Amino acid sequence: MMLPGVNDPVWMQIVTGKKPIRSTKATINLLIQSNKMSYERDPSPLNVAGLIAKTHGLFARFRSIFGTEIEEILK
Amino acid sequence: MSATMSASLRSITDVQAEIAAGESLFLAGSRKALSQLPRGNWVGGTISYFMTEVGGLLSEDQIFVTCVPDFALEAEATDYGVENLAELYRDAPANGFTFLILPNSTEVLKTFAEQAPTLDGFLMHPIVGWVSGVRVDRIGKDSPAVFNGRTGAVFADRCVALHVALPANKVADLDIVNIFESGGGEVVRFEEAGFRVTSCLIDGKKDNLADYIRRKGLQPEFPLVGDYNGTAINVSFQRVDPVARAVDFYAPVFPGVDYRFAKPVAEYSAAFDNAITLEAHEPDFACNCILNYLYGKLEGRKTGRITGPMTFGEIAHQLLNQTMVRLYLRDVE
Repeated sequence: MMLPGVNDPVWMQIVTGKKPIRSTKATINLLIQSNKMSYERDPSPLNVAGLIAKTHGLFARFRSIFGTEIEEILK
Repeated sequence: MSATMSASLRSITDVQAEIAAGESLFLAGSRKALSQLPRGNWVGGTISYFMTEVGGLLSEDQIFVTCVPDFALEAEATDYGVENLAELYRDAPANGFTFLILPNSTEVLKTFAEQAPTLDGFLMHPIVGWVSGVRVDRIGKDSPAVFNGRTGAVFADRCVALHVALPANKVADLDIVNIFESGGGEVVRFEEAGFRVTSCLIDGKKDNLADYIRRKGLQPEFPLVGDYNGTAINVSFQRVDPVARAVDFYAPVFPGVDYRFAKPVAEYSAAFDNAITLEAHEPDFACNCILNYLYGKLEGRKTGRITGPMTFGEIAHQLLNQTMVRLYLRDVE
């Protein structure tokens, strides 16, 4: 399954909470919560860029078990 | 090594033989049992409570063994202290997972619990494991310990890790099973991270948590449940001190998380049976919490089909309480 590139705007929407991701996977939900807390503390473009890189990296790393969530991202 | 990641309660003699045969092992047992093992590629921690195929069991003469499977590319036993804990993630394999055991009530546990979510590599490198403890009738008399079998060292103030590298056709997948859910009451928030709390916000209004618990008559048997984007993460009560008006937890609370008191659970064994989703195969490793064992009176009773040590804290990426943790090594298509 194709994962959107790291520069795709969808990652910005995910890390800023504008695109909610619903998952039963603890790893993804810990990531989303961690992003939320970090973004609330520091919404600067630099921090957001770091969160996008981390989020994209995690989905790329575990794409074989995150299929349902990647489908949701692609919608 | 084993063809699959087998896990079961075994005799000390059997474990000695497995170590001599060159197996890489992740072990839970009493200090007396682990002290009788030869050097080898293993790590272990002190725990005397287990969930077995016939139910919960206290044993000081058997060891719960998880064997690293033969498809693993490498398994390396090592240890870390507060000063180099961040290296845990740097040393973790690019594809694989790390078994971790931290001794209870130590600075290294506190540091991991509070800082792991902020460290480089968090979530990217799956970390699974537990917190070592002592028999509950020996709390305050004995010390929890961890063992690095490679060096023969025993620690009361460091953690031990077994880094396991997997081939490209395997991936480590962590899962948690929580029988507690939010009771749906007022939202509790905290302004600082920590294991000890005095003030909090209840539905946005400043309050003292110990006072709030007393006023509401809440039972500390049931944890606070944090909402992590829909995943329930428990924080269990260690002590509610009405004199100091302070609350001590077994894991830290964090600012930015919405907590609620858990809905009471009456029958733990049945609750686990219901909560455990059916999978094509059993988990490659699992552990559960000593508080569930004690509050749920699980001695002689089962938690579904799942076996493993009953520990003083569980780790699935971060420190958890009153939770079952499962590791699956899945095939990559």
